[in-house]
Amino acid sequence: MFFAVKELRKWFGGVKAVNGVSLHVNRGEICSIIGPNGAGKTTLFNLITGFIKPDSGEVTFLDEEITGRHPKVITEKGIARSFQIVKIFPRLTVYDNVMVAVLAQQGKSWDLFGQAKKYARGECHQLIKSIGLSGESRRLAGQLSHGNQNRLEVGLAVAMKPKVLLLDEPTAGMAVEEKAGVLATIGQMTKEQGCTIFLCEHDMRVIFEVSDTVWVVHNGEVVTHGTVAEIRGNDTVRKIYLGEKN
Amino acid sequence: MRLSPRSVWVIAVVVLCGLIALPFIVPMFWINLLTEILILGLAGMSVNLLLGYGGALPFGHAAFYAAGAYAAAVLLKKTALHPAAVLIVSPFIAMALGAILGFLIARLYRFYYAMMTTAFSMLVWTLIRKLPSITNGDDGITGVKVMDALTGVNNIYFFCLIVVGLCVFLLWRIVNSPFGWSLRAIRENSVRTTFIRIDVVKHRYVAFVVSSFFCGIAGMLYVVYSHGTFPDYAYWTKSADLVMVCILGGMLTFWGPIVGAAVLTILHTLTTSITMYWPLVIGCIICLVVLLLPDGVIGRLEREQVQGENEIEK
Repeated sequence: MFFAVKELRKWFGGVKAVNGVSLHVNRGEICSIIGPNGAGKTTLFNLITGFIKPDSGEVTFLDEEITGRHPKVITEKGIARSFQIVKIFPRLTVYDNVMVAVLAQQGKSWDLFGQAKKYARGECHQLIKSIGLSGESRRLAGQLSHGNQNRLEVGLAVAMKPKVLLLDEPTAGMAVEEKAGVLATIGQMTKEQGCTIFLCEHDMRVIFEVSDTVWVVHNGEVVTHGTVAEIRGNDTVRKIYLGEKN
Repeated sequence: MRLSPRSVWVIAVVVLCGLIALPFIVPMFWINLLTEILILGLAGMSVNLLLGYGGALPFGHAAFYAAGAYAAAVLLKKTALHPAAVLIVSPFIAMALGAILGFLIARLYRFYYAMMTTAFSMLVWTLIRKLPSITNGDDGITGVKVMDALTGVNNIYFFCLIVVGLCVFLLWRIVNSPFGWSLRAIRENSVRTTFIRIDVVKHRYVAFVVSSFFCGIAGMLYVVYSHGTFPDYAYWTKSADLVMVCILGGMLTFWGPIVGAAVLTILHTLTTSITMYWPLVIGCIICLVVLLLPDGVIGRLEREQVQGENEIEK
């Protein structure tokens, strides 16, 4: 199995944030997870990436169990993520943000005497261009608009050259044209780098436009999964999430 | 005011030439003052590696300053080791101490980090006072002669200038290396750095050990300058001075601690000659500087430079 989660469980006191979730993602596909607020989507991402440890259950990647491993170890195995609430480096420029990530991915973070700015210039500029921030490379990340900060957030994850990329609401707060840019980046990642995408989103247009498979989560449990067409036509999903009129 | 990188280096070269020429121009009093500024500036830069670049708050670097000083003084006074070997070995003794404390605190943050480092420096201070057979206790160690070549105000000044210059160059390389940029990323968002394959705890540990080494060099230099060492070098107020020079000069800048050291040393020298209430005067002036220049002297200049560049880009 390429990537799978089995009976993953995390309770916070009496709150069943993730309650026995099982799902799988196939290599090379764009898999989305949807659900109302509080359904457990971000908690699931946090469990998969080692940000928090599960109470029980299993996460496997390339047939290796990675449950509860340290986030750095999971990233080294090839799973990278972006965060719903952006976690960028606000007092560094866009270029410096990307440079730190690229150098870390190349294993250079222990180089104490090299000149960081002379390394990987081309790669940094290429990555900045792919996330649509070429004109902002010298701006402090904290001064970017919310949409551009989201782009940078995605860029930091992409810099890890992951096999699986978990994107937690990457288009939150973006205008329509900005979302198109992020979708283009996602498409490029899948096509050119063979990256598998695991996407969590609230914007159904984004989900239906890019996804190969959709998993629906509600109250910490998987309700159903299927193709976009199957999910659109599912009455249970309509009731829980899409609304009666849709 | 907008300065290009080339302009910054030109200014640095001009300043360096001035520093070399000064002993032949100004009275001995100012050369001594400058030597103290260089030593305090180096110690401040070592703290700034953690404070400004790493986002930690080390309040115990007096321990390493004193360790370097006492290692040099004790080895020179009580052993037959060659003076040059003593001067080389002393900072490594400070670094060994840093390796021990760093292991204990690398996982700590903020308040706990500051309290542990403070407690450690007070532990070192207590040990210095309570081991008179080695350290001479409260009397300190005086009359330390290093070597014939390091006698006289000008010789000591040039020695300190060369050593501090080398250390500044090494620190410049470190803060601009991939390691240095990883430290900055940890300062900005330690959670995110974990997710881009940077081992936060190990990076903070190594930064702490490196910082303690350079602080130990500063302590060793002060023994060369003052021919002695005292327990107060390990007291928490010395640690506060080191943090203060970073804040005064600009802790998010490379040159800030040197400028802060100059401000603090000159302030101290001027006020002690004018009034017996010099701590009050210095305290008030520092409060004003912190309120009016929260980024420090150099920090304010750099901020104006960045804003100027952004305005031009618009």
